[in-house]
Amino acid sequence: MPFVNLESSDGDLVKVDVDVIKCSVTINALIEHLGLEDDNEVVPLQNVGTETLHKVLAWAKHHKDDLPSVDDDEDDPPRERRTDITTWDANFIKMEQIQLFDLILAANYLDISGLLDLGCKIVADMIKGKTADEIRTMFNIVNDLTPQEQEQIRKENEWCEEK
Amino acid sequence: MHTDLDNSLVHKEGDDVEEESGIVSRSESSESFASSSSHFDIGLLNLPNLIFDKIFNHLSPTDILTLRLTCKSTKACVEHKFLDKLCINVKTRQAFVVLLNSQTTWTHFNFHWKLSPPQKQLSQFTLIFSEHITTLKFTSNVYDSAIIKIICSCASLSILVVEEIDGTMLAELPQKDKARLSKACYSLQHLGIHEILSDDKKGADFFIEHVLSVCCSTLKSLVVPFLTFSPINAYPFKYGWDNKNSMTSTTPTDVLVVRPLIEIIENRVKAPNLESVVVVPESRSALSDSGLFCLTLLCYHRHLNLIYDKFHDSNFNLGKLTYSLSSEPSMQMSEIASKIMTVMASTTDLLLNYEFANLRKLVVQFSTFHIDQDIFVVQNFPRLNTLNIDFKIRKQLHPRCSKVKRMDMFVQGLLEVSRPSVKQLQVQNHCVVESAISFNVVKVVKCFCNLRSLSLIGFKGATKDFPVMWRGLRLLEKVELENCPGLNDQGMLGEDWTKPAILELTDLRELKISRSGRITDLSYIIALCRMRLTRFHHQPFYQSDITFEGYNALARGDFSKTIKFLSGGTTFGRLEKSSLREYLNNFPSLQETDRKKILRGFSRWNLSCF
Repeated sequence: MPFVNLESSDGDLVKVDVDVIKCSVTINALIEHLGLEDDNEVVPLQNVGTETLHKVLAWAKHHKDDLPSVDDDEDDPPRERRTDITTWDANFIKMEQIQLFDLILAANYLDISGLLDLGCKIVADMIKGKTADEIRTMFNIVNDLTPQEQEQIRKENEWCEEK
Repeated sequence: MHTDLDNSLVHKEGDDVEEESGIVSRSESSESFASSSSHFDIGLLNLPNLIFDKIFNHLSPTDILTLRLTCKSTKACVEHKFLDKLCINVKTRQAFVVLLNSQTTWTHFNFHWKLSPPQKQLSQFTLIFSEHITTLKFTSNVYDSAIIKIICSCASLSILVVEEIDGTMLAELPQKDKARLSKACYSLQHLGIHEILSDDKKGADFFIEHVLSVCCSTLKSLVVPFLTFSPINAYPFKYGWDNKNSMTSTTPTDVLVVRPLIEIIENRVKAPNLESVVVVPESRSALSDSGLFCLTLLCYHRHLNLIYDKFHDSNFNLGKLTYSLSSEPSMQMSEIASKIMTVMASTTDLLLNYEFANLRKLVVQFSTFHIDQDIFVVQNFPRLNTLNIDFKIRKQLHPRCSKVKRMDMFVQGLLEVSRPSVKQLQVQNHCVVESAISFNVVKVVKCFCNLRSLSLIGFKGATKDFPVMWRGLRLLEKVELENCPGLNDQGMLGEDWTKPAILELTDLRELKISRSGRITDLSYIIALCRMRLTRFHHQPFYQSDITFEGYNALARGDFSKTIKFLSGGTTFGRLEKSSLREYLNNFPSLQETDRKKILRGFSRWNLSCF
């Protein structure tokens, strides 16, 4: 069965090569549990919209030949920083914030660790080095702390460090 | 791993799903986000916990603390997730005042007493936090009464670290307070009282009876405390290990702490969870070799980690072990040797006589070396990963003198047997007599086919050997060559400039060359500019033969795209500052701090010229 039909939450069907989507633990498990045998059978993905599904598939297609991330030698120092984002990924992930969160949620639901890590790293990069005001603006967060509370937190932060 | 998706997953009809058309620049994305915020249901705060955790894992503590300032919900979330990873440093009285108004139930405290807080504030502090405190660290000993008061007030501690404590004061506590202190320590997982000051042995007895004995069932790691008697030598070395005649040189710490401690921790029933025993530098000096040996054997038999904190770079000092084991059966030594993973050796007898089957890191320092045998076999270290060899032979010890007899043979043998497994190799020559090392290190090193990191310091090396070395070590990722005058353009490039030898190192990312032979623009233009380095250090301007042509070559090739750190600001001293700023723009990946450092370095160099 080289192909599988994925049904998005919008009811759209997308035919995809099983080899491309093997990175999704969820879909692999669904295929196995549903016992799909021919190309016309459908895997329902109730939590992933069509647009997001296409994005996920684009990422999966590009990364389908990636090796699984296992430590080859316990004694080896880490080679390339595996958290580094490739140029292709960086271009791929340039999208509106709402799409980014959709993609992260879909990656989480489909259990695609590489895509989930990528999304989380991008969100973290959006937070890094920013002031509280900038973070609020970035993520549309309403400040419900009183000035006194903010002052107290600021002072506490001065004394606080990683354990 | 699955988490239910938020019901509000939004699908925008008609969106183009093509990759290219889906690309939106970051600034555009922010704007469109702001404009679409009315229908925006999935936000940072709505993400499932698992995703939130993953995002936080990429953030620094500073960023996480900043998140506390954004809103109540984020603050609560951060504190829920990270309170256990954050520690409050109490350095001044102001910190105390701030804490007394805190809405957060902090659990980890690190006290650096400079001024003890007033009694009232101290009481208020214990009232607010004592129920929640799990970690207490005191890095000053000035206010023992305050330290004891805080410890006694705690309900249940997991970690207790005290740099110094007055043992006499502890021993004289009222019975009620002793009971409270024991109760606070009842479920400790890490106990680190480093130093116990005492006029007599009561301090040590208190530690054993009221602290260690009560928490030994939960304890995972334990720092061996050392005793400081006042007046000094109040307890001279009059105690001895009764049943071991060979161990006569004992210290009060051996007798009053290590012996009862061993009695407790060697008993699996009493200390079932213990994983590691830590010897801090001070306690090492307060332990005799016999005491250390007893601990070593105990840890070995109980499969505990024996950790030398900051002591000889955490390496096991083989010299001490040799001394301690002189009367032990060799069978036992073989067993111990097979467990040791890191060795720092200034003596090599054990390296010749025992198999270190699990040795990963070996540091050998030669100030003297003597082997009488004409023929000997260096043991094989099948899992050796890191090998550091440091020659520090003093002037008066000429290489041919008897104190360094057979050293060359030993080192060559060591390098020979280590070739297949070693991935990090450092060989340093700090001998005053240049010819102390008679063999050609560069020639030997070229056979380390699996080497990832190489550091050679103080070896002249024949120019013709360097290209051969580059071609033999194709997996190298990091190279440091210091004071190797044999390395010049020809050493970098080899005979055939169409196939520069150093370009064989396709994985090389970090290169440091200082005090080399004559390296000119040629190497830069032909080879260096084509390398995908992330870190590059070259000798400074006044030692360099590089001109504008060489600099410009770096700005054009692959080098310019990947480089993140360029060191040696004065290297660029021949450029005007404005040109330098423009020049640095050719390196988009260059770290901002590095960029500033180079410009600052230029200014300093420039000023010194005038």
